Amino acid sequence: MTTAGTERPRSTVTRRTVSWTTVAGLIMLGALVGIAWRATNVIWFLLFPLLVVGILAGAAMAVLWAFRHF
Amino acid sequence: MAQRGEHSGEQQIERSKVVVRWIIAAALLAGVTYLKRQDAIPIAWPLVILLTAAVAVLNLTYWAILRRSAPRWLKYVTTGTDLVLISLLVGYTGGSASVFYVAYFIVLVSNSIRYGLGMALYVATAYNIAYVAVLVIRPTASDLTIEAVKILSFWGVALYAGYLAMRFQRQIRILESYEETIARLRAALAGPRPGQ
Repeated sequence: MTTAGTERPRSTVTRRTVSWTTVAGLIMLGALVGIAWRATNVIWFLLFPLLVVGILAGAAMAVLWAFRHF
Repeated sequence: MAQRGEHSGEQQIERSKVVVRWIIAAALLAGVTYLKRQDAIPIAWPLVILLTAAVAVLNLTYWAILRRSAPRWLKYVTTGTDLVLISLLVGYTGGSASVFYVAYFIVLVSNSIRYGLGMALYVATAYNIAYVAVLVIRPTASDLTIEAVKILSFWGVALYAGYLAMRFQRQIRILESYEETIARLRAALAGPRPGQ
């Protein structure tokens, strides 16, 4: 709680941010599976690093939020 | 001071990587020579010699750099060139069907254990790009889903190896702090006691 004369608490990650990140992670997971399953050109595989890191970030955010880490 | 210690640690790691690179290069050369004599792989002899010479020149260059110090960028350069050379070997010995595909895992595990999760992600990304280049130059006859699974399996191994390395590094740091505490307590016990 913030009171006069004391420092404001540091801003933490909000529920909205976590929700958006988790949804983005799920969309990326769908894209990853779709590319792996249906790709007709190997160039699509160049998206894997972005998708894997995105999925991990989304999953990490969701898990840490669920365990009330922030 | 800590940064200096970190740099000398990296120098030691890169030196040991140079030694390991000689051993692996010799093993791969022996494997290529054997398979070439059996007519099991389509690679030409001049290319085998060129790749071996490239490894030797790079290794000697790294050794010369490491005699003074280990620049911050060196670990990324050595890992990148290792992956490029393995990709050339894989590309010229059958592409996705090459028996030398497993050499990618040596680079991954060796670097992940030494440097942690960040390096594991770097290796996996560099491998991903290099292997796609191999598949573009040497298109596979099999289903592309198999290749996608191979790449994603590599990512899985990279993330797991990086995670284990991260845990191991954390435990080492805890152990070091315990050792410091024990040393401090011993010094306090050995020192003059109050009232004496």
